Amino acid sequence: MAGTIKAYRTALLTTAAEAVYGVQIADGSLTQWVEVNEFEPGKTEKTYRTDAGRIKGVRGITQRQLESAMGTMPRQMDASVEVITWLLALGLTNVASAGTVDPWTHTIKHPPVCTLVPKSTSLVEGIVCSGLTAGYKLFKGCVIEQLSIEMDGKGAVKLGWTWKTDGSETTKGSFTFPTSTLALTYLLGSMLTLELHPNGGGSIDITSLLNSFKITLNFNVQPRKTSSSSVFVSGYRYGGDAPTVDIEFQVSADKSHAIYGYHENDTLLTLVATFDANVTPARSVVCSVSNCHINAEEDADDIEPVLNCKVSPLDIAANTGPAVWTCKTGVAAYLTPLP
Amino acid sequence: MEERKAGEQGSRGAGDTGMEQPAAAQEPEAFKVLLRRVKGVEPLTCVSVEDGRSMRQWYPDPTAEVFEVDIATARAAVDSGGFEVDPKSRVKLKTGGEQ
Repeated sequence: MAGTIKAYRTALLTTAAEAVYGVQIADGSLTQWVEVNEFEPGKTEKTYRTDAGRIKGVRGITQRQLESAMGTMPRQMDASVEVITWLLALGLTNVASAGTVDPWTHTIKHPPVCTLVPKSTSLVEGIVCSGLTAGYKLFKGCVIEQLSIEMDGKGAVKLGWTWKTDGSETTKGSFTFPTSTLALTYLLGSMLTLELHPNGGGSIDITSLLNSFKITLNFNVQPRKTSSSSVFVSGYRYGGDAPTVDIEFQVSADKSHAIYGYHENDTLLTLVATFDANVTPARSVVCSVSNCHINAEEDADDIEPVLNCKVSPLDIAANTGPAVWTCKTGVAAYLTPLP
Repeated sequence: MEERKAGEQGSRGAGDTGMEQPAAAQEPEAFKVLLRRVKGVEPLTCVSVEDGRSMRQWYPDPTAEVFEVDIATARAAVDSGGFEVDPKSRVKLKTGGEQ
C-alpha cells in the first residue's frame, strides 16, 4: 500500500501515564499524534498449552489453549526534545518539574533502588484510510524496553525505542484519530554539544571533533510472574541491574589527544551532552554523567584516525543513578495519572 | 494537564514512609506535614515520590504557597529543594533518618 506510512497514525498522550497498569487511558484523552519513520505495527506473541509434541498417529484433535500473550512495538523517528522527554519520564519515572511559564524544566533521574516498576501508557494505532477502521487497535500497558538517541554527523538525530505491551489488542473501530501531528522541536547533529573533563578540572568541548554519538537506555523490562486473572501481562518490572545507560561516541582524534590520556590513566570524568535546538522558548535535552571512565580505541575511517570511545558511568547516590537528564519543554508536568 | 488540588495524592501503597502503616494506608491528620515553597527557587510543578515499588507524582498547585501533605511526599518535596517545612507544621521531618 503506497500510502501506508503516510496514513499510519498512533494516537497517544505525552503528558499522561496509566494510573493503573493495563487500565487504558480513555480514548478521548489520546489526542496527540507523532509521526514515525517506519511502518512497524504492534505485534503480539502468544504461548500455548498444547499436546502437539506428544501426539503420535490419530488420537483426535490437537489441544491448544492460550497461556499468555505479550506485545512488542518498535518505533523509529527523527528525535525531538518533546518525545525524548516524554519517553525518559515514562521509563525512569523519577521526574521533578519546575517553572511558571514556557519553558518548564524537567529533571529526570534514575528511579530509587526500591522502585521496580516503570510507568505505562496506552496507544491506538491504525492505517487511517476509508474502510480500514476495523484495523484500529488499542494497545495498553505499554512500557519502554529500550531507548536510543543516535547522532551521526550533521543529519537528523535518530530516536528509536521499543514498547512492550500487555499483549492485548482491542479493535477501536469508531476511534477518531488526531488530524494533525504534535508540534515537535526536531534535533540535528549540529545541535549537540559534548563536553568531557576530568572531575575538578577544566571543561573540554570536543564538539568540533565529534563524528557520532549514541546513548542507549536499557530498561530490560520483564513481565511480572504473577498469574493474575488473565492471559495478559499483569505488569512489567525493571530487569536486573536496569535501567542502564550506555554512551558511545567517535571523535576525529588519535592517541595524542587528551581523551586517550583519560583512557590510559583511568581518569574519573564528567560528561555533559547537550542537545539544544537554540529556539525561544528554549527546547533542550541535557544528559549529565558526573562520574565516568572512558575506554578509547584508535581506529581509522577512510582518511584519518579516529577514537571510538565507550563511556562507563558510575552511580552517584545524589543522582540515584549514573546520569541526570535536564529537559526544557512546553509541558508543565508529565506522568499525570489517567484512567 | 489534570488539575490537582494542593496536597492531593494519587494512588499509593504502604511502606514508603518508614513508618508502620495502618491497614487503609491513610495517614491520620496528625501526620500531615505543612510545607511552604522555598523563596527564590523556581516553583515546582511536579515532584516524584517513592511509593512502595513504584513512584507517584505530586502536582503542587502552582498558585498555592502552603501545602498539607503526607510524610513521604513531604520528604520528597524537601529533598527536591523547592519546599521546606513550614514552622507552623506540627509534624517535623528528621533529617537523614526516619520520621
